[in-house]
Amino acid sequence: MTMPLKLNGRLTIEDLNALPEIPIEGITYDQMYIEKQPICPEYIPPDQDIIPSSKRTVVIDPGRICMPFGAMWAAVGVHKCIPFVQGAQGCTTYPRYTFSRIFREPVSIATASFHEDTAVFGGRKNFIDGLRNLIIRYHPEVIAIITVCSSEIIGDDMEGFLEEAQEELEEELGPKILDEVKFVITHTPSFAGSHVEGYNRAAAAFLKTLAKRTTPNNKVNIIPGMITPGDIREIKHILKLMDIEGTILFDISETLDCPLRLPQPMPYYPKGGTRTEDIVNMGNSLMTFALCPDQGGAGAKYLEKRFKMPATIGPLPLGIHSTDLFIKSLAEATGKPIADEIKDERGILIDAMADTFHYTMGMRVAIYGDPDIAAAATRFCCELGMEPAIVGSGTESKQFVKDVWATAYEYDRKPIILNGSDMFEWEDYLKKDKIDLILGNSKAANVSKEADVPLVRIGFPIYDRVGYQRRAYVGYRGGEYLLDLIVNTILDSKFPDDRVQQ
Amino acid sequence: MAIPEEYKLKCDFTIPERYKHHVLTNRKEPNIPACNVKTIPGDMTERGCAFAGSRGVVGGPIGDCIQIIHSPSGCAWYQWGTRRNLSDIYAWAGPNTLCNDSQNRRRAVTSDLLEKDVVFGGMEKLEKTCLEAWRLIPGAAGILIYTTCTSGLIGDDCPSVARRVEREIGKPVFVIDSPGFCGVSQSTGHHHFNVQFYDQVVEYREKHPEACMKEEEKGPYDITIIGEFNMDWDLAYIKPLFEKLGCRVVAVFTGGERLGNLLKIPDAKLNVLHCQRSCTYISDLIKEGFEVPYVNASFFGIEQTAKALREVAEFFGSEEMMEKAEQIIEYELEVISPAIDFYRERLTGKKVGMYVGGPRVWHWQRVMKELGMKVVFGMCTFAHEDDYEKINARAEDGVFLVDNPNEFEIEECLERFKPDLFLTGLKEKYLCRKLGVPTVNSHSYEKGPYACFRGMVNFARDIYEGVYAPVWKFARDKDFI
Amino acid sequence: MKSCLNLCRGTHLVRKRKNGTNLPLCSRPSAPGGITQRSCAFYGARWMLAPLEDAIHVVHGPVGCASYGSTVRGRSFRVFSTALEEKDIVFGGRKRLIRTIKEAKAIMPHAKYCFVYATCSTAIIGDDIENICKKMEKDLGCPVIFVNCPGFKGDSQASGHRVAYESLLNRLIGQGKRTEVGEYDVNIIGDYNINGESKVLKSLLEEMGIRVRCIFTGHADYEGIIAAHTVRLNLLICQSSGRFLAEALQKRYGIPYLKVTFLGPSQTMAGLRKIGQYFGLEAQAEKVIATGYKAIKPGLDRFLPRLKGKRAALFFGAARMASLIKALDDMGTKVVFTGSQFGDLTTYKETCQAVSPGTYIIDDASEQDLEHLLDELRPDVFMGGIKEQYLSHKLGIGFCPFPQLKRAGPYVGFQGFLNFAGSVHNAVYAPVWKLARGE
Repeated sequence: MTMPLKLNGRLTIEDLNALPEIPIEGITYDQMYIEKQPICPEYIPPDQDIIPSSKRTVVIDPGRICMPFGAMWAAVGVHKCIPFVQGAQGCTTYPRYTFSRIFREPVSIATASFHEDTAVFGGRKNFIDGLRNLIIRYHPEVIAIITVCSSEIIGDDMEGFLEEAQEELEEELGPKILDEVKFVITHTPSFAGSHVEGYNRAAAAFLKTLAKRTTPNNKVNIIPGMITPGDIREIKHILKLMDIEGTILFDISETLDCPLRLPQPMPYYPKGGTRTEDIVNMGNSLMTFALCPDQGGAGAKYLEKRFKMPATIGPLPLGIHSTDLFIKSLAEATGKPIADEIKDERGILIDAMADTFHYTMGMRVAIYGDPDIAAAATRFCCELGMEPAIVGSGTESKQFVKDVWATAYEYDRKPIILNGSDMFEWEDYLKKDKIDLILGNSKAANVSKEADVPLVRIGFPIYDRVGYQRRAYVGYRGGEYLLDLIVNTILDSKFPDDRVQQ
Repeated sequence: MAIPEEYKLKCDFTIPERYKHHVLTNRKEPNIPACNVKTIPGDMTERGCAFAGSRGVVGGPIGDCIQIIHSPSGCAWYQWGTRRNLSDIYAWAGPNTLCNDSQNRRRAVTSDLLEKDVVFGGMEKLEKTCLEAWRLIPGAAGILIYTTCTSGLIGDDCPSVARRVEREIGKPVFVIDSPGFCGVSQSTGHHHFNVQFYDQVVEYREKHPEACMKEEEKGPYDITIIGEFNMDWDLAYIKPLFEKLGCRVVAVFTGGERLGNLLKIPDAKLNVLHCQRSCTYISDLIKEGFEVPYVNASFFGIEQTAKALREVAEFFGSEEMMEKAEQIIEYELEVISPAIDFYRERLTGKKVGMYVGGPRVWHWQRVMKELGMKVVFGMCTFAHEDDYEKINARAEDGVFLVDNPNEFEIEECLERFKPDLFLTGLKEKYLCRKLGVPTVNSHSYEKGPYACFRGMVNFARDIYEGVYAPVWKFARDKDFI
Repeated sequence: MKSCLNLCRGTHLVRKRKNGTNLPLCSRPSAPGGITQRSCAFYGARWMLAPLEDAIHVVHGPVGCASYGSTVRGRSFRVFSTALEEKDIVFGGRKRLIRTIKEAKAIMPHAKYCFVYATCSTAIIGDDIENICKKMEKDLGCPVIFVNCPGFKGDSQASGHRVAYESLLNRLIGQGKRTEVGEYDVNIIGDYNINGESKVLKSLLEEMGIRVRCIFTGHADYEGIIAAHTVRLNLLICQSSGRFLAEALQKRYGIPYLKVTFLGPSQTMAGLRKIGQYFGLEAQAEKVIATGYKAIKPGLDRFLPRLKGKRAALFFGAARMASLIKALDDMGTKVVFTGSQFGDLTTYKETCQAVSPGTYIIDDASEQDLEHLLDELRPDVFMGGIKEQYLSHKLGIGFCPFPQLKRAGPYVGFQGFLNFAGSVHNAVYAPVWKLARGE
């Protein structure tokens, strides 16, 4: 075996090709030096007049995806549910890539495979064939039928198609197939909203189709919204401590974070997920909590209207105040006392906040994310004594603006609020201001490097670091984790090494 | 030829129309499965859409244009900085800083179609979008507009918008009309981009002769490299190799290339075609239109790269060049032999399965052989008949091939053939981990360029790391099953 | 309010009477088992000598003393240890010490001097470190100074401070000459550059035209120390431990000293004026004061209205009590109790003068004393060292660390006062206290 060469510094392409020997470790890209070529010789500033998003049409670096993605996220949280996307193959393959990148888990989503003839003649045949193929090979328990812009534009009559499909299936496979497989249709045309609205519509659709009222019980319903599997586990932990039984709709903590255990049966189905019987049973509960007002609020409102079930919509229990509200509502609704262990957990978070306020007070933060996460993060930052200077939401939302204003008023802050703006505008504000920290998703990493401001990753999507999906941000323990992230990032960037000992 | 009973996959019993997509290879009498046909709805296919093929694969790597996607925000978001087609052209982020990522990956620019645009038409919006984007991202060389399912279905006439915008900004504005539902897979998108781009380039050259290469600038050994998208900087090894040979690389289609150079592609003497699935179309068109021939090449593996160099040298017919080629091949072999021997020793006898888009399955048969590994099955998403012919010609006999596999078929093949490594893409990566099979990302690579002689060391190393990672031992621990 | 240890120790806690000068009992040994906040003489000696980074520091004892002694005021310093084991304690550590000193010099060949610290074990087993040091001086060709600071010496770290200063005085100061002596040369005694103070002090004085030759021990090196006797004036900042050195230098070399402090604008201005008067540089002093104060006025207008009337409590080493109280006066903050670990009578006299009637003064408070005081008096902010910080938090009282400071930077000088006010402001107004009380 040859001795590897000593390579000092990085190699240009010429050096690379002139090396007389390549070591066994190979030469990886971090050792390669590629000179950056500017696109034009000198800096030309972008036209300042049209940077505010209200003044322009073009959207650069959107902070939102199209609606079907939210519905797919919801459907994947149901046990043995396979989403069936009525559209072209791209509308399925791209979301599957996105899920894989964020959760590092396999995700099965079926497509109706639109081709040109479908665009002309309609998607009926693809739909009926597709459903049949899916059922006889995968035996799912629920099929979430999701439309996309193409099927909505060509005007596919999904409900009509479904009736026909069910008739044909009954003929081929016998009548009990209709008991074994449930169908839920969610209409999600991409141009009518963002993924936030998609999840919302899926929540309403699932509950409309499946939930029934038979005998009332003492459970609570939780519609989590698009939060991480770690977050959902934390909610379950809180329910357990309070000795409350709950049903979590769209429980991705059991489907998008699964162990590697051999041998793995085929086809690949995660063990867990919200069971269909539990969704049916959701009509009998005491109360519904929609943790994210814009992601799942519609489902809670439906149950309220239909079954007169009281609903609490938001805020996301991130940080002390919002978690307090959540726990108090739980206690009031079920009559259970607030467990002592929860008070201890609260105390530990408060202790952590007391230990670190010298690091956080006065720091200016820029926040960007989905409306519910951004509003919750703003409140938590204020609780740490930081100053949210710019708060942006990728999706337009009235609730978001209301929540942020309420927090700002309470803590006497004056953030710039960007409602439904894209990241290009947020980036511009950030670079012109003096910001100490960014709370954002992975798309903010480029901005963070260019403006030389450290980034704490929160929200959706996080794909350029590992482990974020397994950790909680909600609840008291989640607040500790987020606080640790924030303070450690501040220590990394603002404190020379000889100042960190106390 | 139908496959023997024992090779029939159980998961397809209920959809027997899939069996015509499965064959076993045979060198003397190639077996070609049914391919490039409609997907069976609902079978959990891995295919993507035509828009992915046109903008994601071929158009995306273009380095210095603003790529505007006329669609709701989703289509643009999904392609925002995902594929690792790298480039060295960076836009400005501030007076003294360049952006953190290259221009083709840094921004997602879209017209964000909303409900009222779908009802009333989006052409006015598109025009405003293009002009504003031009003001917000200054310094670009041109604009590329892509249509998607939405804009295709509402019937927007994008070429007319493009002409107006071009008049306004004075730089090329090209339109690629490739809605997602066209064709059966990404392959249609490749075709659309090749043909439409070529037509518009020819038109532009006629209107603006200054964009063409002047006669005195043309060299005797000018070549272009077509079908190379600079994944993880493959070009760092490919370009210098040809420059050492004595050729001048005029343009690369399209890895990290400037629009100005792309307009000069027809001015070369020879086109060297690497990805023969996505770019054969434009090579044929240039041959027809400008009488510039092309030679098929493969830059993976020792034997195939050597063959490419020799063929190019032969084409130019220069003695000096052919001698140079031999020298280069000998020298490069010396450079990488110690490392490759190290890996070959440890990888001999290991089994490998492959599932990639199409051409890489035949590009890599020889590479696997050079590393001593045995290919037990191969699968392609969107390959055509000529790809399958090439696979039959380069693989051993009796390798199980699947066209357009769906997820269930992949699972069953993994269970049946039990490879030690699976060369595949991102979506299948996590499925394979659950089944205890290591993978190496075959679309965007793991670490470092894989092309030519020196890149093969990186490829071998990543395969070695996949096969010998300690985690598989723990996963198979009998006490915990 | 009584502490339960009062009975054993007499009144170490007093409350200032109107026009009174009642002082607590001090300079007494601590009660065993009382969880005192004091430390040992070795700690005190390291506190003084650690910033001298161009010297070799050899700790003669088991490895623990060196390990703890390598971190001083939150910074890490290089320390060599003889790392004695059981057989060395039995048979003596002499050979090991000689070898250690030789090896240390080989690793730091450019070091100009060497300190050898005694620890409890080596003092008890009777290793004759002083003679070894004398012998090694010939071998190494540079001063090897014995620092006689075994942990059990004296009542607290104060004895270690004194030993350290003695070693500097007796072995180094006066050994050197200075070629170039100025009219406005001064030394600063008692600043330890915890968070960049030395730089601030130097620049303030240099603005006035004063040249600072050596700062004991925050910014001192060999050349500066051996020629420390060639200045015209010493500025004494740390009244308790530094006073010994200032008085010795006056006695031995006739160099007068001025007691000044730079905490808070009024004391900074008074100090600068005093120095100006001594040197006849009154006009320059006024100029520095005017620019300095003008720069911080906007910041002061922001913080001071919110801090007026807030109540503070103090507890730490000794020296800064009086000056800190006056600085808090500048902030409009009232002190409800104050105390120190090892202050002596002079310190407490000054403190008593500085506080208002009704303030509690305590010497060598134990953990329980502090708990009681905090719980009963409930100040808005408590200032002390690291050990007191988390106790304060658990009682829901904001904490501002002093002297180990965090991001806030030095607290001396004009800009420093703004930093100080900012830190106190953060401690008082952090939202966590409200959340903890459930509001």
